[in-house]
Amino acid sequence: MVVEQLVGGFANILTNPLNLFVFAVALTLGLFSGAIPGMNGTMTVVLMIPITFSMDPVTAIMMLSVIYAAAVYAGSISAIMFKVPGAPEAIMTTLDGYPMNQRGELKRAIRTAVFSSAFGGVVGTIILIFFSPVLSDLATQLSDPEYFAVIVLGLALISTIGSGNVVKSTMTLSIGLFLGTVGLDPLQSMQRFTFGFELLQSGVSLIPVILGLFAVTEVLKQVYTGGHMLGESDEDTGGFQLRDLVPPFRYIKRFPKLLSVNSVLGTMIGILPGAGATTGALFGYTFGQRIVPKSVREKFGTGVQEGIVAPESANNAAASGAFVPLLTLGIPGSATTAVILAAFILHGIRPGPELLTTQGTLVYTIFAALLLANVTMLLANQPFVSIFTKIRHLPRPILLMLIMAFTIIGSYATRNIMFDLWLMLLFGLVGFLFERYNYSIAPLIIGLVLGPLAEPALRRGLIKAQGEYIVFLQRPISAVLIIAAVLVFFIPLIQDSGIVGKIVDRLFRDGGEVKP
Amino acid sequence: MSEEAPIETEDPQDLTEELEADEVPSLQLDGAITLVILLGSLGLLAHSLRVDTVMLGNSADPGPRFWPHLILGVIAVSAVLNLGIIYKRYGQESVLLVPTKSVITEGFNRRFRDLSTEEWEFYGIIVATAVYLIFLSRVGYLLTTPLYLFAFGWILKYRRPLVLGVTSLIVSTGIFVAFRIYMNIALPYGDGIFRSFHLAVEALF
Repeated sequence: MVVEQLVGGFANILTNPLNLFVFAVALTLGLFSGAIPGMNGTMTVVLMIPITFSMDPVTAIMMLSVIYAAAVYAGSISAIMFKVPGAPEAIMTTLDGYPMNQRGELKRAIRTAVFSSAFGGVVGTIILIFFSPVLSDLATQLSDPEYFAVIVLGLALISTIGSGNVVKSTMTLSIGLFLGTVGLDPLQSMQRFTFGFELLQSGVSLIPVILGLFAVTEVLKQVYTGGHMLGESDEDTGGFQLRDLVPPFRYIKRFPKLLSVNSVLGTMIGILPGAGATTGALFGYTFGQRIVPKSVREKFGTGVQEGIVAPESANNAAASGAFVPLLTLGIPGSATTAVILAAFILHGIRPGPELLTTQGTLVYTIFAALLLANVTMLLANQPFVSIFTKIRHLPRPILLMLIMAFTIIGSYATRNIMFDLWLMLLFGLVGFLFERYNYSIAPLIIGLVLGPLAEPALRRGLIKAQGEYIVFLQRPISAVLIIAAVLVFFIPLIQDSGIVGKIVDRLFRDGGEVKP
Repeated sequence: MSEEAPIETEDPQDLTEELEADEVPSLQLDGAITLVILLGSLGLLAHSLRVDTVMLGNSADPGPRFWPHLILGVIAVSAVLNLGIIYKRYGQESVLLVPTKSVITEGFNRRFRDLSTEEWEFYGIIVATAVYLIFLSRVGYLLTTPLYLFAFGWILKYRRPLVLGVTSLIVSTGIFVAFRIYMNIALPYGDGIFRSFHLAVEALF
């Protein structure tokens, strides 16, 4: 029954010239909007909604879904090439993708990102197709304590990401969490840390902080060190070759655990309302670091393929997972699916438990489109990336100038306020200093993303339990997750030092070292 | 002869001393960064205690201050720990957690007296960006951005004015057209006459 309907969905796209054309346009739009800093999937989906008014609902929703899936993938291109995440979902990909590029392994880094993205997207979509009703039931069982516990687990994983210096990583993580508290508090709308500054009422925007910490910091670093963003010795960046169209299926054999575990994990994260692909990438990277051998784990952040596989498989799976609550409960799993929900309503369709039966054609066309989009990206990736690799021929000052221009516009375009540009510059300088003095930047971003999700879950959980903190340990799932968080935080420290007494020694490693 | 030799030789002992001498101001800066973070967290903690909060609804809600206090507490504790790490690792004599006046003066003089080309470029880019941001909202995107991009390339020693000028102009205009016309995202128009200019340009498209 499911397979029949899925085949019907494929036929709906491939045999209808209009749908096929819209699919191709949506894929191209998604790829460009994801790859260019300042644009992102959410923005493009918003901009496309008016165009869908005149379309059939099936074509319209298919188009928006494909844009979303393609944009999540394409954010990794600029992240790998320039350390500028094209979209927030690609933050973690910069950590290993960019060093690979600088070592002259641009093509391999992008190929890894594409394959992992497609794999994660396909797995996420398959889970979506076959397990949507079960997963939506599971999602409704979870309450605030479980939700808070999941986030605590995510925060605890930073002991892995910042294992070089846990104290400094905890500090930057907490700074990120604190930045997430600026603005109106989520339950009572009281102003916090706004200092009477109206623009701070809506909080610290994520995009300028990301672009500042990654893009501006990198531009400043390149200028300061006289370095180059693009590796010089990449021998395989020549023109497009036919063999490039063949997907590197050997990666399934090479990274079986990472690809499978992170794809499932990403889908689960995506199912959580409000989490989305960015949270999926954060979890994917940190969790991935835990499940690889120690020798690889220690190289995370220096440019290893596993560091790309982990976040890319998870974020695309999460993008698919975000459709589960959207389609089955009418609850958006991410910002972009919230916009897609608006499109559903505009077309007179209200997603919910009956959608699968009442709008079978629509739902299975979306499923087919998501599968097709991931497969097409795998095949069409190389010609698309070739366009971007031409940039390597630009002189260094022009390249840095272009990156700065797009970074500035990207920071401004989200909220159209000058304040965000100052924020971008400030965080660029902060990021430069932090990198120079070994303060890891990634935990700050993790804190800023997860903090605004953690606080309301914690407070609502406490309100429901009449202020009893024990509720987080009384509920089985929540208790397991909290215990897992404690273990996950301490195990890397214990593992690497051998005995408990050496934990202290671990904490004191690298303190104050300056990066060359 | 033997007196001149130490200048030329690369005795490992000399290199170690040189490295340590280089590390000291850096460690002091590391300590200074942590100290700023510590003082900032304590200041914010004090500030939030002064702000009145109204408890609405269920009294089981720990309130708007609870979460930030928890976080600021962790920041303060980890900052103190980091200061301890720096202090323990390098010893009280080689590193002062709070740089003295002479250390700051010496460091400042060293930093700005002997700037390398890259350092000049680095500071130039920061100043140019700050100046650009100041004028962007007043003069508008179309007039300031080409100048900023030109200055950016020029600071980085790109000495082909025609190429640089044309590239700056094309990039600025391209972004304006893409964002304003096709994506309906308004870029800064400036005030007064500059606003009129931007509106006139926009009308061309």
